[in-house]
Amino acid sequence: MLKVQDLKKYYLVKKWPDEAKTIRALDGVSFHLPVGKTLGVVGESGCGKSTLARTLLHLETPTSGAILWENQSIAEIGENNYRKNIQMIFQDPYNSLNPRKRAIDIVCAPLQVNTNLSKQEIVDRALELLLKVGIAPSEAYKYPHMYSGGQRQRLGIARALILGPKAVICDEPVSALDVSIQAQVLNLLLDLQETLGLSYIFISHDLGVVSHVSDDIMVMYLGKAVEQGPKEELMRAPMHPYTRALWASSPSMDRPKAKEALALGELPSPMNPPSGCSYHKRCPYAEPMCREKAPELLPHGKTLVACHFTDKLKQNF
Amino acid sequence: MLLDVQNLTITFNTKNGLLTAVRDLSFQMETGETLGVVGESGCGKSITNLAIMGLLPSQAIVSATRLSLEGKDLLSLSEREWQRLRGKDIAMIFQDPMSALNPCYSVGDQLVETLLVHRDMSKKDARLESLNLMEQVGIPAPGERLKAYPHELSGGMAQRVMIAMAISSNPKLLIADEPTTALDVTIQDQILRLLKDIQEKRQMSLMLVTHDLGVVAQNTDRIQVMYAGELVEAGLTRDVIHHSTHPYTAGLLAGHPDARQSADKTHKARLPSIQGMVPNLRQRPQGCQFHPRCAYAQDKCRLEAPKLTGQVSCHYPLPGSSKIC
Repeated sequence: MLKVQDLKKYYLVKKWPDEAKTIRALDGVSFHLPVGKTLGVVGESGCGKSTLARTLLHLETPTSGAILWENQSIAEIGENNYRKNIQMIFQDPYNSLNPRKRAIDIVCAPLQVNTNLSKQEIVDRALELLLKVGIAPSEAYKYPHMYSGGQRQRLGIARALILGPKAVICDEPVSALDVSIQAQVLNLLLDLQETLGLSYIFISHDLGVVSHVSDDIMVMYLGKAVEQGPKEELMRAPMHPYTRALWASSPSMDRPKAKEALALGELPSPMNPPSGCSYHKRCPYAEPMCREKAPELLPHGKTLVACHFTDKLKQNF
Repeated sequence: MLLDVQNLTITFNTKNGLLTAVRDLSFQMETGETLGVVGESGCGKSITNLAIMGLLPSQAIVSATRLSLEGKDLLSLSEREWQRLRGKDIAMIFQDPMSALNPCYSVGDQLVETLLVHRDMSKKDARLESLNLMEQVGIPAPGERLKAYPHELSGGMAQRVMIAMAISSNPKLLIADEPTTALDVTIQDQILRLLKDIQEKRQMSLMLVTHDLGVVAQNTDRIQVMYAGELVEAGLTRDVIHHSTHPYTAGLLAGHPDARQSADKTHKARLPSIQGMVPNLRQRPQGCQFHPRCAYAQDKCRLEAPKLTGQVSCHYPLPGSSKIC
């Protein structure tokens, strides 16, 4: 349904007296999102997850590459029609809701702008949807500060769904929520996907959350996908050293800490990314070749991996 | 015994009436031990820490039958005595290193200041010592970084500086309040390792406060779980994680998606989740604080508050089966 080919977004940063530099926030990302499926996007902050979300919504114009919705480009269908099909749920339910509007107004607003329905119809639809996301009609006339974090995120979800989109981009939808509320919101998202046949692009830094909700996973590092493929394959035998590092360092209850695969140091600045493989400075398996030549994203079993030494790594896992 | 807290109750006198943030909390810490404190926001974790640090605002009413560090009563300290103790015997690391450091001074100046206050050193020695500390917390090129201002450091580096500052006076107890919540997972892991390392080397006690059960499971000796200002479950880490008996702990554990487990599931199972939300502390429910959200609640839970017996504070503890699903 949604097809993205070689999507790039570069920013020019001018900092006097230095010359202008390009930041490759998104450097050639391709994927395909089928109906009713979820693509999980994982990576550390600064890896281009949020730029991807914003570019997909056309809040940022891509530098190059194509976004195809049902085989049509955005120019062909028109931005407004495109955005009726694809909506976004934001990370922070505290800052993404207008504090001076009541819940019902927030959810009604997209309908008022985009449809010719009567006032009563709009309110009826909004109340029906709010009920679906777990906010009773009697609760719908409050201001955002009167709700808890979890309820606010439910409001955010209702606002995204009111136009009946087919795809929803969830940018870290649960990371601002408490643990016991996280599970509730994740379940709600899964329920809605089932009943409404939604597709999700689910962005998170938490490997556990992503692998719980996704069908496919894409691991990003400095604007590039380093590994992508079906969840089962990717999670059972991660091939890229970075995926393994994420895997090893995400805290878990029932496995001891893995020692060998950890990432060294910190994320390099995207202003001057390292030569060759962008991960080589942190990679425990790096060899001289990694410094010189950037690996391509190549098929490896059912997944795509960007690493020179996949064969060697395979034996290591 | 290092820290002894008995029946700690903290009440705030607010415009809208009394708010009991922490109720009847008792726990102890031994030297060299790592204690994990887990709970959602508003469960009283941070308030407890502030009470132990003597940093609560004046409208807070703190009462306890005992609050002592190495036998020294903390409740009767004057502000002067607090100043001598705070940062020296008990040090604290905060969640957001960027806002905990002063943006107007270089990190070197801030480190030196701590040393001058607590360690009675000459300025020259303090400079050398701060270089040494920066090395100990694994900051590359420490000499250069001493001159850096907080905004020039990454989050992970800033947190390392905070740790250097906290350990500069050889504290007996280090309280880390969500030390890695603002950091990426790979950096989180590095910081946790560093804390563990330092703790082992210095035989310090570490209180690790977090909402992430995975973090405490891998890094602590003992865990206590808090809910609405009360202790609901406490015990050895492996007992609490693998044989949790309180419905709240069990619910938290079950609702935590784990990467490895979900790898084997092709269908998208719903997570077992705890219904409802944390009670309003101004209108606490009667009886057990957790009963409105508890799937196992019975009449007794609605009327009578349970007491902490053994590991758990519950009238009908679960059998403690090993981890669900």
